[in-house]
Amino acid sequence: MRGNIEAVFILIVLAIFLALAYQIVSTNPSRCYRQLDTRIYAYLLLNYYTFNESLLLTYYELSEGVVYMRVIEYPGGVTVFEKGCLSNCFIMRFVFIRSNLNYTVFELGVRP
Amino acid sequence: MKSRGQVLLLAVIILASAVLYALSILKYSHPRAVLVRDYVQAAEVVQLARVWIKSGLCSLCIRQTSLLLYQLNRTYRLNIPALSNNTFKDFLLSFDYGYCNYTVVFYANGKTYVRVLVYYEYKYINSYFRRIGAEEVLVYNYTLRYYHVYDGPWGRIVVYPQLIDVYRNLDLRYLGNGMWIVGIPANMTWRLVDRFEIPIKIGE
Repeated sequence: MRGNIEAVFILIVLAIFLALAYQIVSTNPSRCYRQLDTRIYAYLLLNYYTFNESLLLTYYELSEGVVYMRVIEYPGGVTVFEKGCLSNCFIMRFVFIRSNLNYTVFELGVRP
Repeated sequence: MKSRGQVLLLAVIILASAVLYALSILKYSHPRAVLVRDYVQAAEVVQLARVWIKSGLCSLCIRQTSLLLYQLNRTYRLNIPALSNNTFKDFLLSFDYGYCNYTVVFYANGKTYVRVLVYYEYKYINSYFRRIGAEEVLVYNYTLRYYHVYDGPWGRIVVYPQLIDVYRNLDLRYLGNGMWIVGIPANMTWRLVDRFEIPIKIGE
C-alpha cells in the first residue's frame, strides 16, 4: 500500500518536472525579445519636413513598443518633444538632415 | 536499502530543481530588444538626396551634408551602410514649356540602395488680367505636374508634395495626382517651393 502511494507521488513529481522543463526549455525563446518596428518612422521621414508636437505625439501613440521618445533640433540641441520614461530602455536614434547645420535627431526607447 | 533509495530520489529532485532554476535564469535574465532599422536608414538617405536637390546638386552642399551624415552615423550608430552615389540633372526651361528631372541614386555593396527622382513639367495655357491693388496685372497661366519617386527597400513610393507660394503672389490651385494650375503675374517677384524647400522654376 505504502509502495503504491510512493509510486503515485513520484509520478506526480515527474509530471510537474516535465511540465516545468517544457515551459522553460522547449518554448520559443523569441518571446524574451521585444521588437521595435520603426517602419512607421520611415513614413514620417519620407512625408514631413518639420515635426510639430501633435504630429510627434500621434506617431508616439501609434508606435508599438516605444516607451520613450525625444526629438532634438540642431543647431542648438533644443529638445522640442519628450515623452515617456527613459529608464531601462534600449535607445535607437535616427536623423533628418535639412542642411549641413540644421538637422533633427530622433531618440526612440524600447523596453525589453 | 529502501531508505537509501528515498535519499537518492530526494537528491535527484533537488538536482533537477537546481537545473531548472539555472535554465530559467539563463533564458530569461537577459532580455533583448531587437531594433529593426531597415526602412528608417533608407528614409534618412532619401532626405539627404532631397537636401542635395534643394541645392541644385551643388557639389559643396553634397560634400558638407555627406560629411555630416557620416559623422552622425558614427556618433549615433545609425548603421547606415557605406554608400556611393550618382547624381543626374536634366532640364529644359523655356517660356511655354519646360521640365526638370533630378535623380540621385545611392549604391550599397554595388547594388542600388535608394533612388530618388524629383520631376516637374509645365505647359503654358493662356494669360489673363488680375486686379492687384489699383492696377491690372498680366498673369501667365500654366499647368504643372510635380512629383517625387522614392525607390528603396519598401519598393516604390510616389509622393505629390504640397507646393508653397512663398511670397503669395501666385494663383495656385491643386487639381489632384500631382497636377497644379499656376498663374504667374508678369513683372512680379515670386518663389514656388515644395514642402521640402525644393524650388520650382516656371517660364524662365
